[in-house]
Amino acid sequence: MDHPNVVLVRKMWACLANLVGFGDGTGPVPGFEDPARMLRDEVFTADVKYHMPGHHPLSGVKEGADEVIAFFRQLALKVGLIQDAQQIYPFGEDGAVEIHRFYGARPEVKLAGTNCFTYQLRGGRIADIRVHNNIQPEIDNHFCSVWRYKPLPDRLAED
Amino acid sequence: MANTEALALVRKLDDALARGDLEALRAQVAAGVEWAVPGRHPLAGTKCGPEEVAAYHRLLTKKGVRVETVALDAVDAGTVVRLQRATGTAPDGVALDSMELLVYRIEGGKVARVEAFIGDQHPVDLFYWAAFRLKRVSGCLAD
Repeated sequence: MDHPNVVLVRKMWACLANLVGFGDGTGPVPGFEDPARMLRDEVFTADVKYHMPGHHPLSGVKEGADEVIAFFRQLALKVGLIQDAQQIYPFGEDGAVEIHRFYGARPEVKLAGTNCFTYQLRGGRIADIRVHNNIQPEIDNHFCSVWRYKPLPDRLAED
Repeated sequence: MANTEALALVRKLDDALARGDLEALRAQVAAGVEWAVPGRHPLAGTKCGPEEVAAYHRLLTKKGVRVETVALDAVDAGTVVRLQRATGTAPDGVALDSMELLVYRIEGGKVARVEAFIGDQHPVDLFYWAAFRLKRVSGCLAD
């Protein structure tokens, strides 16, 4: 039987696959019919943080379930990223680590590589997700070509 | 347009931007003016039209970015080149100290395009990430 931390990470991906079509490309996962609620109430802490590295329109810290969902919705919409060869392990007392291959579902998307995620859990939920990669310049270039900011100043948050 | 006229046009543009005078700015730039800002940071990309060009300069001023002209000259009747040093400090202490070259292209008596070339892009990117915050994912992206 899988470690509970691994089960929780798999649950997150199953929810995201059903909610925004992001995942391993095999389509909806049975048993996750209310994925947004499950992510908010069962998978993520209220203050979950998703750290996306790089210098591009989707980089930075996404905070809260809704922002994390919005992030994956953009990925699914514009790139259709697929991840496979997914390996997830318990890591430390309250963590998990994941290694997966990723590539674009669309033929025009040439971006491909390996990601390593670390998860920190609190109270049985995911509180912190950090993405690590080894091709940041390629990712920056690709994401900057796919996503455009709104004109100034509409793209910026108020001080 | 003679070289001296081209130079005078860019000086008037400087003055309009310094005063934040949108009407004066419109008199110096083409309606479809493009101002290209290189890099990978929240202000990067091509600013289109007088309103966005004005907004870009307002934001620089608001965050205390100072620009000192080192040299300014018209290299021909349609091209003005400026060498400048931009300095500033973001709230968390990240500093900007950037030597930059701006090339102004003039068409039909107005500035049609400005392109910036940066001496060292990576520290400039870090400064602008520290100085400006983007809206959330759903708010900062164009459709």
